[in-house]
Amino acid sequence: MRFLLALVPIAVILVLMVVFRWGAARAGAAGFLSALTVAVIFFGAGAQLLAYAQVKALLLTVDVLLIIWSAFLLYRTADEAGAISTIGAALPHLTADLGMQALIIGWAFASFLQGVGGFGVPVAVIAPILIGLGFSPMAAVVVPSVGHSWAVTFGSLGSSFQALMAATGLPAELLGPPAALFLGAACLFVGPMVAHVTGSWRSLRRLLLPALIIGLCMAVTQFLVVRAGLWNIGSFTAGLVGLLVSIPLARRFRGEARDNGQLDRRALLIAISGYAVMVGITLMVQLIPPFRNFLGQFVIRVNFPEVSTSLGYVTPAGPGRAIPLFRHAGAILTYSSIAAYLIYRRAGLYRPGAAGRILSSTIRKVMSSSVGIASMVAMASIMQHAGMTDTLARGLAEGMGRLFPLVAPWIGALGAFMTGSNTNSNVLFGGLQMRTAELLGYSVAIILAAQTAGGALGSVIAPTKVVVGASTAGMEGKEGDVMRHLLLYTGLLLVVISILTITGVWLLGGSG
Amino acid sequence: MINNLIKWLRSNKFEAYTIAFLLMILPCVPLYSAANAGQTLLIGLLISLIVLGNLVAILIR
Repeated sequence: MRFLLALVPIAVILVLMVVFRWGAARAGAAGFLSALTVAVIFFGAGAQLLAYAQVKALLLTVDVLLIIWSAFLLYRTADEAGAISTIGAALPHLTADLGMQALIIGWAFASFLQGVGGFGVPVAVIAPILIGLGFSPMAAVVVPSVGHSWAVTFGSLGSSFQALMAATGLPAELLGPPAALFLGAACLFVGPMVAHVTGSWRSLRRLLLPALIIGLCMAVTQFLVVRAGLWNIGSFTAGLVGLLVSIPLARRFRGEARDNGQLDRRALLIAISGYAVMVGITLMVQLIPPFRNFLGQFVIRVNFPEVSTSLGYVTPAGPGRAIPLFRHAGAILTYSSIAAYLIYRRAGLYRPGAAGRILSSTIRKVMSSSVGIASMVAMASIMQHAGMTDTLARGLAEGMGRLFPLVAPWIGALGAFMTGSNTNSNVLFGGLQMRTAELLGYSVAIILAAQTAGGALGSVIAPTKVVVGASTAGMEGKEGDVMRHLLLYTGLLLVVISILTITGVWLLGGSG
Repeated sequence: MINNLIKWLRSNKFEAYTIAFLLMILPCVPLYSAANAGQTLLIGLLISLIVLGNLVAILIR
């Protein structure tokens, strides 16, 4: 009975989003209200407990939103200058082979865009480009949707991964490598899938070798970058390496010559320089200790006392999420946005009033997702403090037993499907998965890697993302068809992650 | 009056989302001091504002 009551807020979100097609902001708010009600009436949460849970939720919300806001600011700074379309337009110069174009634009470039932008940007930007290159509208949506899926967790400059760390309180050194490994394995399958979408099995056989080479380079790059502690540029660098590796491969698969106009190398260089600056600043902050320490001096840190419910569930005393304001990934992105703006302005790429348009479109775009994240983080925090997450974890541990590792990625995917975001899924289920893994004695790092990998892959079939993709490809009203196509590829990728998870927990047992 | 309010929220989505977001976030700042001082009434009032923010978010379609 208590398990079912603890499940109510999650069920509310699921039903409202999937059955009634509510957005994440509305459903998240309904989830919060139901969590608050259940926590007070059935789990004995008092006023003080709710207050501290809410303040902790504020810290987590700020931690995640700083990245989301500034990542979109950087994307809009580049987009307003025409840098994104310049990079996209340069790619067809490499090859006229449709399958190879799909690999370069729909996979490597989509991963790169996910690295810097996210929030549905890869599909929204790439689908119209692919239609212009002669792809069917269905392929134009499915290719970038599948193509960027493996890059979601370390994309958007690491916002989903940041959310996982915030929700579990575990460090990047523990969570990063297994998550990068799982997503890297998915990447190896994504390339052949993209080739399959463009021309079925014949296309897959013809492009298998370049797909494996590009996939291996991107997967290894992401793993090494994440392992080096630069998780916020994991997908970005992997996408960049994928693009660089594609160039010599594309020359072998040129296809029939087509007139793609003149390639403006100077414009391309300027377009890329905005993002090169971001890599430079990130490396400076991560690798130069005096600079890193200087920026890390100002930290927002709040201490919380022990609180307990009237039923006796205790949350121990301790600090909330610490936010190093000037060294935060969000701050680094803001510095990068300012630097990119100055570069593009000096190159004369902006029309008058560009700064105002960048800021206003950024604020308008992020507001509804900010509401969704604020309410879902608060809901997760209340559930944790009231012992609801613990009740769910115990129920799952007893119900699933040794099969739990197989299910873990599907829970992550379910969270992303119903909330439309890997970030929200990690906030919603990160604590639950961690607690279940602890109860069953499985490696927490492996289970959380399965959570975030499942969330990344599952996010592409979320109704909110499918609607964005379908609308940009002129397929309004055919979202169900798009989802059916995506379900096959996403399901296969989730099976791969399930197998890796069960292998991982067998190899590692309860360590980490 | 409530119908007019709902109508306004739905036709001014950005403003409505901003109001909802601020109502969810801003009360958390005094909430910490209220919890430390054990002021149950003030905590109830501030949490009511957060609840109001969530209700506003639900009303936006």
